[in-house]
Amino acid sequence: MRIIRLQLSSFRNLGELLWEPDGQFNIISGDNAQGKTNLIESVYLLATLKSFRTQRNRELVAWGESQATAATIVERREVVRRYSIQIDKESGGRRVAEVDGKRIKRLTEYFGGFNVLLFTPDELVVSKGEPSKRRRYLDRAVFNQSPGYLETLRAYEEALLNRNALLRELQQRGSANASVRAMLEAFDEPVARLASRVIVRRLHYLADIAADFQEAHAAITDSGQSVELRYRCSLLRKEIVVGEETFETNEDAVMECARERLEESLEMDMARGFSGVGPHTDDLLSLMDGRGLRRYGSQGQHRTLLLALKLAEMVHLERKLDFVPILLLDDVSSELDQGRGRRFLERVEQAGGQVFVTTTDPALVKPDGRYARWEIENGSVRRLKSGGKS
Amino acid sequence: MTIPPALEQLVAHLCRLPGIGEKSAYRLAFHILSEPPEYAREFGRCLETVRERVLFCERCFNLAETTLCPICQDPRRDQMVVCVVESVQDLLALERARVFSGVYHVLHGTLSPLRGIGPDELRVAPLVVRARESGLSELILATNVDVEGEATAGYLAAAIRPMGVPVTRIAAGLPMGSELEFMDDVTLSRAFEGRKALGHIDRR
Repeated sequence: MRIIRLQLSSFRNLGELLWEPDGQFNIISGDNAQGKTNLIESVYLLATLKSFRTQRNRELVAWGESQATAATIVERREVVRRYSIQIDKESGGRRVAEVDGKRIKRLTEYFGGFNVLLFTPDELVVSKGEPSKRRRYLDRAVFNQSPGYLETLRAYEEALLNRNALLRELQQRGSANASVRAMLEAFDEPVARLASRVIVRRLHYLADIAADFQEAHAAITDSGQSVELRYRCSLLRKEIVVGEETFETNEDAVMECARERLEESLEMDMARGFSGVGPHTDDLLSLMDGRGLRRYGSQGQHRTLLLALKLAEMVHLERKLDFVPILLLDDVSSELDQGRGRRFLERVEQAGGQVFVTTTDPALVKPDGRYARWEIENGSVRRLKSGGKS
Repeated sequence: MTIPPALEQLVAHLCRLPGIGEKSAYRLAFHILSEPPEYAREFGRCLETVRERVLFCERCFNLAETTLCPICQDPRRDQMVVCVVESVQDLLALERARVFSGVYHVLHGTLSPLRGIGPDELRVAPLVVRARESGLSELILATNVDVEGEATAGYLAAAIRPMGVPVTRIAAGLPMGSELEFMDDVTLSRAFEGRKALGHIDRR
């Protein structure tokens, strides 16, 4: 899929902008604070209804303006669609989304037709940071391929919060309180069912990308290192090696375990006042040559892992949805020239998707010279002399 | 310009209604002022009488103007089959559909520990008494199919089943006229769990 036209109005510092990018490879250069990332952010917003830089939509509205609009015309498998989002500053950042001029009431109606994959330096925290970052990464990847997953996650969270409220009540009113215990039992049922559904969805996704991930990693790295992903599941009480074992993908079986584990951990849970086991405590581990990446990995290894995960996600989306998502690479500096980045881009290009790269490095070029080059200055986009193709 | 206190008071009352913000409250108040005085008088009388006359049915907690609601008094309805619903609105929806000929029990909410709502905040105790004492032939749990509705149904089933009353739960799954493609995961897996054998398939 590709963006044919992007139109912004009062979106951050980008003012009135009408842009028709190249169908394949776009390099956007410019000094800091000129609006490069804003451009990528607007595309990400149009695809996901969220920013990757802020939780508060109102920040997206230009200083002194009351409304920001982002609109795009997108072509996917020869079908042309229009997406637009309006953000209203007065109402605290309320957004109104439209597809083909029709206002969207339920979020799930919006998703599913417009997919992007984002790569920013910030995302290195996925492999380096806290487990919650990796869970969020994994959940977003599952959501990207099946938007209905959002509802499962939301319901699980609601069930869990209710269970936690009951655990705190048992702390206050004594753990033997029969009426609270009976309620806890009633809530354990939806907690166990939804927990097992979340786990199974995550494991399914990991199983789906396992081979692509290995292939992508081998293609990008030049060291011949082996890599392994493991899903650490607190309810099943084991680390599941992605792609090697037969996965626990039977929801009923997982749910049986979940019920037992919830019962076992009840004493502990009552003592601490919250649920200590469940997919909200799980983790996605990565090992290189058998060593945990999070602790022992070099900067380069973290980067390779992330690129391989993204590439696998892209290939998987392509296979599942039959089109290549748009790739957004923010602030890649000169790494693209180096072996790892170059091999990554070669793979992306093979897939034939549209790519947007931002960089502060005016010397950054793609070795084969096939790209369109843009400069962004004071919020407006200007085409520079391009590479060979266009 | 200052607003007359009487108007301000009306606006304050209207603001307390669900879904009404200050803007709408002013619009409603000005509308009332623009109508003939008879309208406001009639409106005021309605507010008073509705509060005086409409009570909860002593048996099922549906709305009623006498001790028992019309449904509980209706001899054509099966008093031994009780359908548990969350709200009067849900009861009315079932009545509109004419799918049920038994009687009801309105909980007036669902269990929600997060918001501090337990069985004591709902009409659970009278339901338990009813189940124990009236020899019901079936108790149908028709709470909503969301986390709290499900947990409430589970709670009631555990409390009432030991009394020997058969307890059933309404089915969950795909709504009529829906397309699989657009359904969320939860709905789809519910629909799968609740699948049924199609009767009388002739395979000869």
